[in-house]
Amino acid sequence: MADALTLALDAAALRRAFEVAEQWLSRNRDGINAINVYPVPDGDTGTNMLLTWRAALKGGVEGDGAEAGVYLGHVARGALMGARGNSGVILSQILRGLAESSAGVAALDTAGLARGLEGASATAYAAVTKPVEGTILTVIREASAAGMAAATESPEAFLYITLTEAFASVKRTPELLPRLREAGVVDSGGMGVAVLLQGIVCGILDHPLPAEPLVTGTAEVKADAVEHEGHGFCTEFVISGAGLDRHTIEDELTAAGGSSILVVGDPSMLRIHVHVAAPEHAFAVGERYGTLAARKAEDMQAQHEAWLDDRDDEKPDTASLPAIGLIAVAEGRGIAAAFRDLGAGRVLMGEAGGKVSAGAILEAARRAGRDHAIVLPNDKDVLMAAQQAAGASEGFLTVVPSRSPASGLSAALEYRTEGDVAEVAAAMAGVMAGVRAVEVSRSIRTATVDGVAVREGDAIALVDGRLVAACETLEGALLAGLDVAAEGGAEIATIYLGQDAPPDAAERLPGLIGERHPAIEVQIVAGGQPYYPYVAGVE
Amino acid sequence: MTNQTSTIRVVTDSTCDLPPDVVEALGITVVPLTVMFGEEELRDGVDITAEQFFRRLGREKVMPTTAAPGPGVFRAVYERLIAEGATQILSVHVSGKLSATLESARQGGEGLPVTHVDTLQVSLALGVCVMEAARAVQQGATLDQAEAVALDTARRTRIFFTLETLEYLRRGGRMSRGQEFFGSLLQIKPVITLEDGEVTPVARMRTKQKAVEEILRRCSESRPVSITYALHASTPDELAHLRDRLHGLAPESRYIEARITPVIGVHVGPGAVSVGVVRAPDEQSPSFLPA
Repeated sequence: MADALTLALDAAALRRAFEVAEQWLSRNRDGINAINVYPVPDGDTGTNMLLTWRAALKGGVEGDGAEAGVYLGHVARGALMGARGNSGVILSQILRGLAESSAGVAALDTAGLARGLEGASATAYAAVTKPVEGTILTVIREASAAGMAAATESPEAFLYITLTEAFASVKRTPELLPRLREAGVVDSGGMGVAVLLQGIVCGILDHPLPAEPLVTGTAEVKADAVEHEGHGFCTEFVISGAGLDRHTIEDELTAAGGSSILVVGDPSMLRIHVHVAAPEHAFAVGERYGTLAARKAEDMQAQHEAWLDDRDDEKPDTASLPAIGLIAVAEGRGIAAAFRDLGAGRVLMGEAGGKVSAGAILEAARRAGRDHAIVLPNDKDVLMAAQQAAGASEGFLTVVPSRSPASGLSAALEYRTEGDVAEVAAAMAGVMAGVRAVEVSRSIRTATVDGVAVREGDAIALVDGRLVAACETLEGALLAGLDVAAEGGAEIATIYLGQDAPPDAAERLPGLIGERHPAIEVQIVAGGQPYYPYVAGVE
Repeated sequence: MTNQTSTIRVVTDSTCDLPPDVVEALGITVVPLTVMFGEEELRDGVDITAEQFFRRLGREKVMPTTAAPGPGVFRAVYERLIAEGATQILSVHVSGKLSATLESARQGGEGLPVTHVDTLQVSLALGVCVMEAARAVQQGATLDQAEAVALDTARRTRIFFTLETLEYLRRGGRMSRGQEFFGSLLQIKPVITLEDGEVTPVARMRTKQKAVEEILRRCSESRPVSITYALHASTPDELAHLRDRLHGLAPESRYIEARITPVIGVHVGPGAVSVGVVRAPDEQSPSFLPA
């Protein structure tokens, strides 16, 4: 299929290309996760995009074998609900734009793909209230513009020009976004979308993926090597024929790069299970001996998402639910318990090292409230997924845009189970405005962020998402953060101890804080959150 | 009818939290509820004072409970007052939704000339109803008029409490609404009120200071105000501040302060503070009002 003089991507061809892209993104996930403006170890853009992409592929299963437009529609719907993290949400909008531009198209040619990318870019921009340049948006826009200009070229030239521009655009992101430049990184979401494009191009052209991951976590972008490497797709199918020889097929699957081979059955029908990099190679082996059925190729690490489970169709029993339900997104058992204590019917935690998806938020919302639900995302990178869930909820779900569990917990104090949901949400947002959130972690890199020079290993304090201090000890960073947060007066500081907080912190902190801020009441709560040994709410 | 032909006496229960001087000056009879530490029964405010109670609460392992006076206790009180010359009795009580006291009083008063009033209030919110009814009687009101004054005062008053914890209220089984939201992990200071005779949470605040401010804000929504009141369970120093703030809120109003009685202390716990206001009479108020 590599000798395509003209491009005609039907559903099956798109699916194959998207699966290669999944594989490529999966191998670059850790590198993309490590690209983080803030040098804290909680970067998960790669994971969020990968999980979103997998949800898209899973959605596409329903449209397999259909025309390209229909298939992409299913892919986009899968992505919409599977979206997590802000980059994942924008990725889902890119897929939506691609699908909408391809509606009614049986197979995409070069011009169709160019139009699709253009639509993808436009839809992604439209989904963001205040588009910021130097991000994933810029990368998809510049790549699609280059593609549009090359739409009359040969398919190979078109794909090459588009992809080259995508990576060039990623490299330029620090020029557009000063904080990237300061931090010495490129935009992680932009890199994610370029990696996906590369996987898609390799898939379409049937080129092997590079042997080494492209992304290492800094601004450095490695040159693309071209080589084949096996990586686990769990592939299954059934061969029907006559005189089928189990051992011959096993040998051929091994020769095709397969592992964990299991062939069972009789000479008229064999069931095959094999782990192989390119499932089509395994299928090709089977096709030489008989007719194939029940083909299945799944990434072995693919996460099964609760919202797609068979439970999905089951109507939640809403009679016992409050009229207005509350759900919160939170990491850490103590923080989750505090949210439940204040009435949250559901507390969601990120899965598989990534953020919570829009679909998971919507699903939880439906199970938390009878008429309405309010969600506290408690993380700026969950905000867009929450908004996407709200947008798909037909007015059921309202987002109170908390960016930290500390402010989310204060907002939860104003939660009411009954009344006008808009009023309740407004009251919650009102309290939140009076809370400043301090987050303390250890820097994973030497960088200058928000004008503060940070060395790798420094304890750093962020106040409302801005880096304000770097020093040697976690306690020192916390105190410095509290100084900033308490400017202009404060009555109470609630300190949530993370899972990595020193064991004596609960005893020591009240005294240390009391010396500097005698008027502030200090409350210590075992939060159990990862990455941030201390999180504090100051109000 | 005047006091020459009928002698009206006013009876209430110990949840009214009226200061002793007011009780004495208005000739009010207060029937004590019972506080129980295990099997030990103590008459509220008679066998145990608020000070003794909160000191003991800090030491005791068993959680105290409360009990309404039996119908026989009420009957004995009513019969004594009749023997002393009362021709009619107005018996004004704590919300029937919070306590069996009113039901017990009704049973005890069967066949006797006693009129019962469910104020749907508690503490000084009940106290001000009793006080205004007794003042009306003192100023020559008929029983019907005094009853109307008690009910009208109940309509115009609003009491708030802030608690150190909802734990006492929960254990006492007096949380009727919103009881799922304790916020105990964050040491939330709840603000509660009585709505339609039931305990209703109205706000959850991070600090006591904020909770008191929230109460004062809610009180300031009632204007004009004729009476303000404040109570503490175990923190007398907090009253001075509240007195000043309430005076600032309604300089012309009468101010009452008191200490929360043990039987209420069982349910609100140490550190509780309470503030309330009575709105000035309005067009719905009865024609006879105490001066």
